[in-house]
Amino acid sequence: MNKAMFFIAIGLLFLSGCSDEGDVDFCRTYKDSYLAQNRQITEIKASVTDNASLTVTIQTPEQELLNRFQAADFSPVVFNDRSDCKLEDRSLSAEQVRISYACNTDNGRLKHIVFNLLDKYPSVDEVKVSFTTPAVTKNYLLHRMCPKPLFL
Amino acid sequence: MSWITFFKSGPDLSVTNDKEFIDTKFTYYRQRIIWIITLCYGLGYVCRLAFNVVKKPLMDNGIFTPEELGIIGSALLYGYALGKFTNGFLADHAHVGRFFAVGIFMSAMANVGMGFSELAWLATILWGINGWFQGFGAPSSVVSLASWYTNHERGRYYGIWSTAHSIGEGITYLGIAWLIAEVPKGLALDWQWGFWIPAIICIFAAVLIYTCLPDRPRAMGLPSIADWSGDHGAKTGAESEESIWRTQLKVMAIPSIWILALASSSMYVTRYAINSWGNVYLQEIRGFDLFDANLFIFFNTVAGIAGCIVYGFVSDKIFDSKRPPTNLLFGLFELVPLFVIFYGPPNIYLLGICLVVYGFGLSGILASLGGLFAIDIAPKKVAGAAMGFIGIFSYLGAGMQDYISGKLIYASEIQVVFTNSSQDYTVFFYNYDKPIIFWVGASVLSFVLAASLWKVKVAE
Repeated sequence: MNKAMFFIAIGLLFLSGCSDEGDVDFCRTYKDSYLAQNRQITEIKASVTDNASLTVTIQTPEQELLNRFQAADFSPVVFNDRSDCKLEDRSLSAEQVRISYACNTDNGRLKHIVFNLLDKYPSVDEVKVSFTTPAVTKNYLLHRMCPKPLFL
Repeated sequence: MSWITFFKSGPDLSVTNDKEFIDTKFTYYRQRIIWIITLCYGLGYVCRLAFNVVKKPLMDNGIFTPEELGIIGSALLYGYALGKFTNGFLADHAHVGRFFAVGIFMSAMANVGMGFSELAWLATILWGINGWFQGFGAPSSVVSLASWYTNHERGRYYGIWSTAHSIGEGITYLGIAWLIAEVPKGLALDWQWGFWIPAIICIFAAVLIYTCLPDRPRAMGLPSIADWSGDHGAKTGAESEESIWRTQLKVMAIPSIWILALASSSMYVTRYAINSWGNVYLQEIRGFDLFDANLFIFFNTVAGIAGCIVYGFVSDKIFDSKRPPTNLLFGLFELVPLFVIFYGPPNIYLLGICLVVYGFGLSGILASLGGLFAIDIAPKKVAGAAMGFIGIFSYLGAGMQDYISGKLIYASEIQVVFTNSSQDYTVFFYNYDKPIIFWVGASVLSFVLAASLWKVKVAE
């Protein structure tokens, strides 16, 4: 009897740990469905170097965002006050913009890089990110309905 | 009943003359004790290692920085080092069933607390306390082995008990990782369950120990194991007359023991670096998921069992009980794969093979630096103190490693944030180049220090 109660208690603990919200179910299948369909979504490829150079390439099917590419003051990145960053290069094609920055920071490295695309462009619901540092490249998906990045 | 009385081993009871009763009792308890201490010490390990498995989710969720994780991890190792110093003495006077059970239960409570703790200082205190309570298990088990098994069979039973490390590492690096890993490889439970499930396992173990692990034979009206078996050890009267302080001073006056302690401490840096940060490195830099990364670490630790056994065999049978050439051989088994893991081609099979060979070499060399070679070098009268000295030194090294590794990893952090009206998405990037130099460098230093003892003479 005692044994049975013990195992029931363990089972209940497991069940309580598994009770997820509906959004999480969507997020669990979203990555697989994206990979299966391979549809075009907004993609950001960025790389940062040890001497605080940042290059960002954005490709998107979203018209609202494409229109903003034309603007000279368009920047997908918000730099904090301690980073003295200057636009170094900018090139534009039909669906893509490539922007390079060179920064002067206290320790010679960029430690905090903030992208504002999801904040500023409500039509962008999902973003595929490929970010490269001198040590590693991480690929992940962001979707407004998902609370965490989904690593590819 | 005061709490001291609760823990205290019972008084010696008068021994019955019923030989059949005594034989039946000894047979029964001896069969039971070995599997209780092996199983439960292994289960207790889960409450020690769970933190390593959940490190990555803790970092990804921005709950603790690597530097904080390093401080928390080192707290356990310092607590454990302190425990090694104090609990051995306490266990000698304790009812080991109660002592061990309370230790493992309190360790479970620390794990429960860790699941609720998102404050670095609180987690550090809890994990430090956990380290101290984790130190209840080994001395209790050893006291049980000494009380219930004869001098001539203790080696075999000690070997069986030693497999507890692998049981614990297996359950943790496979089982706990399975709970936390994403679907389809795991259950995708939140990181908190990485502490709570080990706590449940340890509470189960504590109940088992409390109900099944007995006090000393004499406290149960049975003769001592030596009297029952007729296997009496040699008297060491001169040794027991010396004060503990004098014994310790003797150890500290031997230069080669200091070199050995430094070599062991450096090797512990690498050992605990791979155990604590290896799975995080494999996920962060090599792109493995949580389950696969922990599986690699599991293979590495399991290979260690073979390393211990083969080291003893090779040094005794092939090198005629000479440890230095065996140290050199196993040092190379440890060092060469370590270089390939971090600086070699990024091939998954090569990585797996190197981790296994590294685990094999590491365990062999550690068995020597902290055990066999230490006993060879130290005068036999102070061999125990030498091992204690090296053990504490080693865990201090391991503790410092955790803090330094965390600090170096944190110093390389890059945060990439996507702001969003409802929530921000933050992904952390780290560079392990400097920690790797520290980890590999520690092994190189250990190798050189151990090699410097090539001509040291075996003490009588």
